[in-house]
Amino acid sequence: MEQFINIVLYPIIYFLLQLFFFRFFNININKVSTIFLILLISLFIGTKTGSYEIALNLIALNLFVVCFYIFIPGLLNTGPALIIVDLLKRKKKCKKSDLKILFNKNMKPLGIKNRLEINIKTNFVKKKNDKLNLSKKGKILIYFFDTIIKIFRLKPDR
Amino acid sequence: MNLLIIIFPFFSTLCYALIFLLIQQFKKNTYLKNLIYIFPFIVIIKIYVIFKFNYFFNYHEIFYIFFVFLCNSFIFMNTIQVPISSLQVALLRIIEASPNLSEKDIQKKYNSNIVFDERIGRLCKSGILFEKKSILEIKGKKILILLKLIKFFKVLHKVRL
Repeated sequence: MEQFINIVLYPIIYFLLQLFFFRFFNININKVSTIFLILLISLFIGTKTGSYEIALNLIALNLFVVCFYIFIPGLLNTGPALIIVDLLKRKKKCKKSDLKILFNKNMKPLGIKNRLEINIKTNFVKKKNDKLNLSKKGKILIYFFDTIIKIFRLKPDR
Repeated sequence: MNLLIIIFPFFSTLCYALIFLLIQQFKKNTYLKNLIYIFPFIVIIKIYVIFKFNYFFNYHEIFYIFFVFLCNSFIFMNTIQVPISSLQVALLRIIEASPNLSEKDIQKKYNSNIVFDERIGRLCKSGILFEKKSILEIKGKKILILLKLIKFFKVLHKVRL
């Protein structure tokens, strides 16, 4: 049990810390800068102590931080698939057309506009004179995902 | 030996990716099932290897191997899932395909009706929903566990449900 606690202790501390900031100050600390900061601190501690056990714990912590960085946007912006499943869970069975009406009601405040704003805020999209274009960062991201799609022969919706 | 133990979970994730890649060559229409079912398969192989060579590992290392593999798998699953289902990425694709669009043009091209049809199609295809004579029903109950988990974290983070 002690060994298990050793591995999960740092991730639990991180989880509680980010929860504390989120709940009480509305600050999301799950950012790229946090990932790099924790990586740098881990490298420093790892090289300073030279301990194998601490190295294992720090690797676990760093990966956990990356996981949370991926997980939080999905939590803040509920995906359409989950909205559909949630509506169907409440209704048990539902006509497709009725479900579409319910979905549109639920999707409106969370929908496309919100995602577009996030894309602009995160500099994936440039907005100039009300016209939208991909930034260099956005092009790199699309290129990366296109490569994943080609390698794994995936079929995206668009 | 220590270095081998450190890279073991990363190597397992590489195997996960390679097996997924291999299966995708034959059954590319069921990517979600492929992605989900390979995970326990790798876990079982890991358990077997650890039991077989148990004299090499202490408990700390065993927990490390499983925890890191879990994190790596989560990252890998999301890397596969995001280009397929992310709304943000879909919007980026639309802007890439037709530059100089305004927000209104995009909302005309990609609105909640289109998102609904796309998602229903994919959920039915992956066996999560079941459609018969235009009546929809949840088929796989596993998705409800995921839904409960997300709702739990939303409540925990005080995020609107």
